[in-house]
Amino acid sequence: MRRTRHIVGKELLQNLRDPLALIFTIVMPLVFTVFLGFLIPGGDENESGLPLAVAGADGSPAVTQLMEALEATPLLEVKTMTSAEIDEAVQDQKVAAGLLIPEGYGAAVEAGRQVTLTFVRVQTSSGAQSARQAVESVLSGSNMATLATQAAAEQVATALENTADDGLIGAARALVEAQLADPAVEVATRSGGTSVAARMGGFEQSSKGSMVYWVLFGVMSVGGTMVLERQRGLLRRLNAIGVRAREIIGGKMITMIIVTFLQQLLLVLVGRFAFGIDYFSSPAALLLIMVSLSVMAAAFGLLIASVFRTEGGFVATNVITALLLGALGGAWFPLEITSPGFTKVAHVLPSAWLMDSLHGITLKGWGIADVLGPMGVVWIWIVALFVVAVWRYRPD
Amino acid sequence: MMRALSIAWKDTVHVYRDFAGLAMMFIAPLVLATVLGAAFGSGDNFSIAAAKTVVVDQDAGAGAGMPAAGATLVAALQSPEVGDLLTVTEVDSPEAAREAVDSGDAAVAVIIPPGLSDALTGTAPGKAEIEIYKDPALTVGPSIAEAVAESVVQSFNGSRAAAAAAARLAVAQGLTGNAQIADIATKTAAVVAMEARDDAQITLEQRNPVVAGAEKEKRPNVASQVLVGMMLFFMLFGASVPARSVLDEHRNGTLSRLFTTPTRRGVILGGKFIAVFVVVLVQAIILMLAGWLLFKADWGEPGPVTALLVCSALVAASLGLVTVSFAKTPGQAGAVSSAIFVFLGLVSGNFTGTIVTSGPFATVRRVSPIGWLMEGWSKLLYGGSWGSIALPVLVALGFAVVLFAVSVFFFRRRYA
Repeated sequence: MRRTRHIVGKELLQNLRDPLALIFTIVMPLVFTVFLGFLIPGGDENESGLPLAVAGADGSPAVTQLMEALEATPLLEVKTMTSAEIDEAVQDQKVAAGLLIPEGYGAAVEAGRQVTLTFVRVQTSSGAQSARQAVESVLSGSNMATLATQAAAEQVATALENTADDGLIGAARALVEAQLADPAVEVATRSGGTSVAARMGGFEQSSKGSMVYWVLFGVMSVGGTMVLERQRGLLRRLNAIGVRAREIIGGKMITMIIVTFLQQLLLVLVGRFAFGIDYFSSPAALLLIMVSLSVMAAAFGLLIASVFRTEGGFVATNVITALLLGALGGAWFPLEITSPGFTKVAHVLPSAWLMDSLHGITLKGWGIADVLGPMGVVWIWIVALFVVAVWRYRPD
Repeated sequence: MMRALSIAWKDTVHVYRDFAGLAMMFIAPLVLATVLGAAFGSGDNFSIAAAKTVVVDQDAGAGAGMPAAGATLVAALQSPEVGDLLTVTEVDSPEAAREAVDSGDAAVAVIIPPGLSDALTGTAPGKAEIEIYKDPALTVGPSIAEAVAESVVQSFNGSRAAAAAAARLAVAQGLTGNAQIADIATKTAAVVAMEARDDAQITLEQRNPVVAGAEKEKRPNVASQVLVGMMLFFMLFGASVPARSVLDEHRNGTLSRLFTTPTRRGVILGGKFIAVFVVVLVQAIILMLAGWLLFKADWGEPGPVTALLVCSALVAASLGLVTVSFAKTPGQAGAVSSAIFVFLGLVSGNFTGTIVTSGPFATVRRVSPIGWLMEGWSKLLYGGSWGSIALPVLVALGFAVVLFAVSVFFFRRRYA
């Protein structure tokens, strides 16, 4: 135990003196959190956000009405462009999507003719999908007002054995708009969970994603040192003077757990106090998740440090695995926007269960009992990784 | 020159004998492109998982012979048009619906109140409220259910507004018979309800952006778009492996031995620089061929593709060299370059691609040469040509020249 303590002390000191470890453990996760948090569209529906480029604003009353309706939609931030500029702006991601209003739109609407608008988007953009729904909602409202006006005017005209003239249509429109302003049925959206304000947003995703994604980088320094020590014969020397393998493994594992736990703690505190993420709704559940994540990272770090003989191999495997776990586990983007079947496959990995549990405690009021199941999966991984790591461990 | 090429050849061969390096250069980008391509649908189709939706219909209708509004909404949620997006199950009570969402069995619940039809016909006072109860950790699935509900509710309110407006208009036009006015209102509501389901006056079609110079819209498949990001990202690691050989040789003492030979130091460093460029160029060519074979990626016209390919290799090589030029040991170089590359990948959109789209991102990613290259490759994938990649290529080359000059300065200061 004393020897394990010494190894832990030496590793922590070495980690503390390594500016690169500081970059991977603290600086990069914080940069990732802030950067992605600002990029991912927020969950607050009152938040203005998705830039929509609109072309064809010719000043006709119908176009003006459409533009006003689009600008009144909280989700959209309308920017006027020429039709030639829209494609490039969408392609370069300067806007979430573009809307092309065809020539003669105003005249067609006035005459009651059908008219088709063009929505320009990059197929894989989730922002474009949200923007499209908002645009369709506006168009649907406009269509309904027009239809209701025409139907009312035509039915009355028929009863009068006459045709619907402009005067009758104008009067019908005023009455319809007055009625639509006071609808009989409304849709109210509420979120489950304990907090009414809880919503999935940019920082909810990026803060938790950083914890899960960067934790493997947190073990890079200790694991890399272990590979170097083996290369230089230091592990063998330790073995020769009577330090047992379990003391070395224990010392390395404990250091990795401490480093990654502190890394997570920092991210949790920043997430809570800088971005208002409700991490402390269940401290016990959060503690279990953080400990599980740290132990998993340590077991994985030990495994690749045991398997790979060169620092290059260790770093490469660490980076690739972190990328895979992050991408597959929903650390980069929510799994809900992935294809059918992908979510199920992703839940073979511990990262997906960790992300689910973190979302659970901050958004759904999950407690310790709710995270036991997901953490059970994570601990199966931990045991498997640890057993293989110990089996593969050689001091030389 | 032959000496420089000999050194370059030795370093290149050395790279291809390192399994870890090869894994970073080829296996990682292809595996990630495959996985992420699968995440957003295979081949040309982008698809997302259908959101599990529970619906509880408490509306009994407004009277005999009249269709219940609640049933209309349930039918809309279960319609084939949204069948790929919503998987709808009916439950008995609002409590059961909310419980399904709270327990994670459903993404969203649509709760239809008891007096919905009565509120629409005016036989009950006040408004009716349809509740969308959603999983707070989800956004897309619930928003689809919400959009369907909103659309149906607009139709309800439109029919009601039309009926009420018709009745008032009839009175204003001098019609007085209650039966006749009621008949006009009923017919108007029926017309609106019927036509709302058919042809809308304003419709929306969608398409991909058409790049300047391209004749028509081109739809690149998802995997090829992901592969571009992964290729550019892992080319940086590909460049750093041979670049680190300078430090490896310095540590092992072989660089000092080389300096004692009658070979100018500039030639030795030049040979190493050539190796870095060749390694990443070959890496990019192999990855693009793999993308063409495995993902059926249509990279575009050969001329612009070649230009951008060479430009990408120059940028990756100069970045690989500059990140190594600051480091003192190979281990330090590996860690420093990894940190810088991950940061560049992050700001350039290599990981998120087009999934996350917002205005500021387009500006932010232009601080990085990789961001400019991503822009150029994206334009080619969407059918662009020389005109559309000219600016990204020029800017990226500018970055490459500056970075190369910086790395030469540091290497010369240390070794020359």
